[in-house]
Amino acid sequence: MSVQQQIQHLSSEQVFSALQSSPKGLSDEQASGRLRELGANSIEVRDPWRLVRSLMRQLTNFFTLLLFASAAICFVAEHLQPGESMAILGWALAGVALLNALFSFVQEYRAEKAMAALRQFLPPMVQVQRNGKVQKLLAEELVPGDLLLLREGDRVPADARLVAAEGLMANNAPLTGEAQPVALSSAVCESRLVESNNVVFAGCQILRGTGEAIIFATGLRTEFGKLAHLSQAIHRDPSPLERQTAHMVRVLTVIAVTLGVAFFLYGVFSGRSLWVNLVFMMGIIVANVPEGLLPTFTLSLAMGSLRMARKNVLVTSLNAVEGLGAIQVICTDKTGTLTLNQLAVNRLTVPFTSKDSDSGEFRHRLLQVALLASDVHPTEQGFSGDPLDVAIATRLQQECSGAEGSFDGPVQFFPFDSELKRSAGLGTVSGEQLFAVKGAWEVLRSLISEIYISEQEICRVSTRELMRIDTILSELAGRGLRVVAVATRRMEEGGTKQYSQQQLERELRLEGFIAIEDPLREEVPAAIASCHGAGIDVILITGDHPATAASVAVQCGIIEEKDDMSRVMTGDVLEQSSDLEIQQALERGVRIFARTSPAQKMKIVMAMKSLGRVVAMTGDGVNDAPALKAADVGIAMGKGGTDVARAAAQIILLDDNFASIVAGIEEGRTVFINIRKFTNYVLVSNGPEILPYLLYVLLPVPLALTVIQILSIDLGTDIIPSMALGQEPPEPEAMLQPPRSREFHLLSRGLVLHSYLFLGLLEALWSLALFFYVLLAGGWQYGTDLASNDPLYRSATGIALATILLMQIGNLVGRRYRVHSGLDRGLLTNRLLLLGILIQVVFSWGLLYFPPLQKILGTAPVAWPVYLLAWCGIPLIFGADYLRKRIFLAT
Amino acid sequence: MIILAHDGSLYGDWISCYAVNFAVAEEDRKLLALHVLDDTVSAEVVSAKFAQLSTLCQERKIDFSFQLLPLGKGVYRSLRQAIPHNANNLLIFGTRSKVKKRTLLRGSIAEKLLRTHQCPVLAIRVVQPGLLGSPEELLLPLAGHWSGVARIEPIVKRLIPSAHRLHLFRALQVNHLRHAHLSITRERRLLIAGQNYLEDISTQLTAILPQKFSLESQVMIATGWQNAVLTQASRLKAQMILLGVSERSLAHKMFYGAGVEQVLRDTPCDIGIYRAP
Repeated sequence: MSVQQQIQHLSSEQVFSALQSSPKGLSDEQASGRLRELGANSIEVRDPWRLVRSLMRQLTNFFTLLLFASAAICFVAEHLQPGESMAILGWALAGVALLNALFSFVQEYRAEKAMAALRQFLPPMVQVQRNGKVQKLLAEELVPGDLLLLREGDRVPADARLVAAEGLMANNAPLTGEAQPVALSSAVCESRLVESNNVVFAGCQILRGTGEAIIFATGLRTEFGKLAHLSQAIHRDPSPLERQTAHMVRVLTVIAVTLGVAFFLYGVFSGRSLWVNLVFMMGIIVANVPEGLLPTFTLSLAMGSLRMARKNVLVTSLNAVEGLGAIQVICTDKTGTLTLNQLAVNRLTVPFTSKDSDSGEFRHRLLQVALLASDVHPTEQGFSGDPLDVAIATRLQQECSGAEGSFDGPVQFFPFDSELKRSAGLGTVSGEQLFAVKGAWEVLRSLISEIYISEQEICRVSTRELMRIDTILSELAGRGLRVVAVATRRMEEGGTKQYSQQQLERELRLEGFIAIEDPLREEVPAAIASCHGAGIDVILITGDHPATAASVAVQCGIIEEKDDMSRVMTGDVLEQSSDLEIQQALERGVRIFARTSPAQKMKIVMAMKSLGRVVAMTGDGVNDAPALKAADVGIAMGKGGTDVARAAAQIILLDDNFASIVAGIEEGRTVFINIRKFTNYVLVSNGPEILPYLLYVLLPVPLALTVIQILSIDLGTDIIPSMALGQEPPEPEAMLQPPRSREFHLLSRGLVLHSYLFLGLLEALWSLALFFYVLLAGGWQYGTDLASNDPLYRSATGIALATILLMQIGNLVGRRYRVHSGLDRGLLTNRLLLLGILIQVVFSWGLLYFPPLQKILGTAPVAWPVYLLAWCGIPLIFGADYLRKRIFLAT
Repeated sequence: MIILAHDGSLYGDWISCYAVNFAVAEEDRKLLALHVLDDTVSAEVVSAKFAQLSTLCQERKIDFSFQLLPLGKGVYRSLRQAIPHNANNLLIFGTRSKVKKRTLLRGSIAEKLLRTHQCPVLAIRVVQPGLLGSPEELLLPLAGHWSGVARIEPIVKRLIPSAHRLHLFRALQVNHLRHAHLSITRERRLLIAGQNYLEDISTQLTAILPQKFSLESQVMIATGWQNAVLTQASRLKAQMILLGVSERSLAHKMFYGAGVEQVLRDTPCDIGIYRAP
C-alpha cells in the first residue's frame, strides 16, 4: 500500500477540503470556473470531422481513384470527339466508384449507435447541492466538487466519493459486469479507487437507500467515460478481406496504369492522334480493371449475411461475414454460451464428503440456511432474483412441501459483494436465530471455527480438516460444479440490534456445501471438435473457479485433461502479468482464463493480436464493449447481451449459442472460397479484353472489342454469374482446412496465371480467331483500316463479344469446384447459376441479332454457322480446364 | 528540492498535491512555492493558500518556504529570475485553459518554462483532482528517440512512491492511405523495431525502478499518435500520462503541437509534460 492517498482513503471532512467544496456545495462562480477548466460532464468524444474524414478515406482508396480517373478520361474524350457515348461511360464509371465509396462509408457510420446506447446509462438531470440549496441541474453541468444527492433508482452521472450513505446499494454491472448489488458506505476505504465501496461510479444505478457524494471526476475521466471513450475511439483493424481486396486492387491498378500509360506513350511516339491514344489508354485501363468485382463482393457478403441470419448469426458489418471465416482463435464466455445458463442444485454435501447427502433433515436445513443469505422474491412465474439464489429457492420448494418449504426471509441482509465474494443474512430458521453466510470456499475458509459433521458431531477446525475439505472441494469443482460454502453463527434470541457484516462474521460453523451445475449445451462438444478440426483454437474466459472451468473445458473438448492446470491462468495472475507474459502463456498452451473479470478480456485480445492471430471475442456486458471492438470479430449475445455490447459488436448471436458461431465460421469460409471463385471467373474475361488492345497498338489490325463492349461484360453479363458463384453451398472440406494465414493473398500468383495466361488466353485466342475469320471471310485485308460503323467490322466485333460471353459459361461451370469438374454438383442446384447462363446465352444472341442491342453495342449479325462456332468455345474452355484439374489436381 | 510555480487558483492547489507528494520523496524534503503577484488573485488569498500548504507540509515533515514575487517584466520573467537553478531540483507548474485562447500549452507561461528552464521541469494538467497527486498507473508514450531515459528519470523517480506500474508505449504513426495497404510482413517488421526500442528503454528504466515495480510495454501501429495515446490511457486505466514534447523544427512544432494540445484537452487522466530531447 502506498503511503500517499487518493480520495477513497480520506475521511468525509477531508474530502470536502481536498476538493475545496463544502456541505453546502459549490457556488455558481466556483462551478463555472471548474466547468471552463475541465469541460462538460459528457462522455462523447468530440470529433466533428469524423464523418468527413471517413468519407474522404473511402473516396481516396486506390480503386475509387482509378475509377474516377477513368471517368475523367471519358469526359475528356467526349469533349475531344463528341458522339462516341464516352460521357455515358464516364457517368457509369463515376457512379460505380461513388456507390462503392458510399457503401463503405455507411458501414463505418456505426459509432453513433454505440454512443446512443452508452448515453442511456447517464441521467439527463440530477439533484445537487449548490449555493446551499438543492438544485436540479443538467448532468452535463456537473464539475468536480459538486455535492450530488442520490436516492433509489438514480443513475449516477459522474464518479463521486460518498460523504453520507444510508442503506445505499448500487448496481455496478455497467462497469464490473457483476449483476449482484454492492453495498456502499461513506467510511474510509483502503482499497484501490476502482474497488472502493465508498465511491459511486458514473453509469451505475442506485438500487436502494440514499446518499450524498462529492464528484471528483467527470465526463471521459470517469471510469464509465473511459469505457465510452474506448467504445468510440478504438478503430477495428482492416479485416483480412479488406487487406486482401486492397492488395488486389493495388496490383490491378498498377498493371492497368502501367500498361495504359506505356501504350499511350507508344501511341504518341508512333504518331497516332491524341484522341486515339486517349481512347486506347482508357480501353487498356477499363479492360484491366474488373469494375463489377467490388460491387459483387458486397453483394456476395450481403447474401452471406442473410444465410448467416438463418443460422442465428446476425451480421451488423458486412466485412465480418468473411472475417468470421478467417478467425484463428475464439475467446468465449462460459455461462450462457457454452452452457445453458440454467443453474440447478446438483448435490448438497456434508463438509467431509463429496456425495449427495441422503439425510432429508440436513438437506432442508442447509437449503434454508443458504436461503437466509439470499435475496429472492416469489412471483407468479416462480422466483425472481440472482440465478443462484433462485436455484436454491426452487430446490427447497421441490424438496419440502407445505410449511416446511415456506421461508420468512432474512431480517437483515448483506448483499453479495464481488470483492468479499459472499452474501449474508440474519434471520430465523426452525425457530433458531442465525447469521448465515454463503460464498466461495476460498473466502469463507479463514472465518470458519467449527465444522458440522452430523447432528451429533461438530468438530473444531484445524489445518488438517481444512485441507481435507480443500481436497473435496477440488474434486467437486473438477466435476464442473460450482460449489458454494454455507456457514452459520447462532445469535442470541430476540435481539433487534443492527450489526455490521464484519461484526457478525466470526466463529462461523461450516454447515455444508451446495454444488450447482449449469448444464452444457448439447451441441457444444461437436462444435468445438469442429473448430479444432478447422484449426481454430478456443479459449474459455470465465469468472468461475479454475477447477470448475477446467472441468467444463474438458467436457466441451477445449482441453483434454482436467488436471492439466498448466493450461489455466487465473484473473489474479493475468492482472499481474505483462502483455509479453500473457503472450508467452498463450504460446505455452494456456486455454482457460478462470476467476477473471470482463475488463481483463481486453488484455487477452491484445495479447492474441500481438501474436498475429485473428481473434473473435464474445461478450454481453457494457464493459465488454472495448474488447468486442478491439477483437477482429466482436460477437455479442442477442438474448442476454446489453445494447452497448450489441452496438460494439459486428456479429450478434440470436440464440447466444456457441454452436452458432461455428455455423457462422463455416459460412464465412464458404463466402471467402466463393469470392475466390468469382474473382477467378471475372479475371478470366480480362484476358480477351486486354489482348485486342495490345494487337491493335502493335499490329495494323482493327480493334476487336470496344470500351462499351468491355463494360457490357464487366458491369453486365458477368455480374449474375459471379453472384451465382457467391451463392455456392459450403464445400465438405471447408471446416477440415486450417484457417488461411494472414499473409494469404486473394490475388495469388496461381490465380493470376490461371486467369490471364490459361483460361483468359484461351478465351482471347478463340474469340480473336472468330473475329479475324469474319473479317477475312468478309474481304478484309491485313493492314487495311475499317470504319467503326462498317457492317463488316460490327459483325466481327459482335462475334468476338458473343464468343467471350459464351465461353464464360464454360468458365463459370468449371469455377464451381476447385478439383472436380463442376458439373457433378448439378446445374439445377443453383438457380442463380442457371439464370446467369441464360443471360449469357440470350445476350450473346441478342447482340448479334437484336437490333436495339446491336445499336447500343455497335455490333451486326453473323451467319448462323459462325455463331455455332462461338458455342464450341464452351466445351473448349470447360474441357481444357477439366483436363488441367485431372492432370495437376487429381491427387 | 521541489519548486512549485503556483498561480493562486484552485487549479494551483491541485498541482500542489503533486508538489507535496514529490517533496516527501526528496532527500532534503524541501518545497519552495513561488507566486507572482499579477493582480489576478490577491496577496491575502495566496498567503492563506500557502498557510494551508505549510500546515500540510508540517504534517508530512516537509521543509516548506514560499515567495510572493512582485510583478516585474511579466509573470514569466519574474518567475525565471526567482527560480533557483540546480540540476537536482524539479520545477512543477500547471497548464491551464486560457479564457480567450483555446490552447492549453501553446503560448502559455508553462510552454516558455518548458522550453527555457535548464533544470528538470514538469507541466501538469490536473483533470482528476480526486487522485490527490498520487497516480498509481503511469503511461509513458515514447516517440522513438534514442537518447535514453535521462529526461524522464527525475520525474519517474519522484512518482515511484505512489505508482506501482509504468506502461511504456510506442505508437508507430502510419499514414491512413498506407495503413490499409501495409503488408503483414511490413507491419511485423515495424512492430519488432518498436519492441526492440522499448526493450532498450525498459532496460535503462529497470536500473532506476524499485525491484517489485511493474514495467510493461506495448507497441501499436496507428494513423494518429495522439488518439493512440488517449485510447491506450483509457484502456490501461492510466492515472497519469507522461508526455515528452520537443520542438526541433517549425514543421515538428506544427505537426506535433496540435497533437499535444489534443492530448491535453481530451486526456482521461492527469497529464505531465516534460521536455523531451
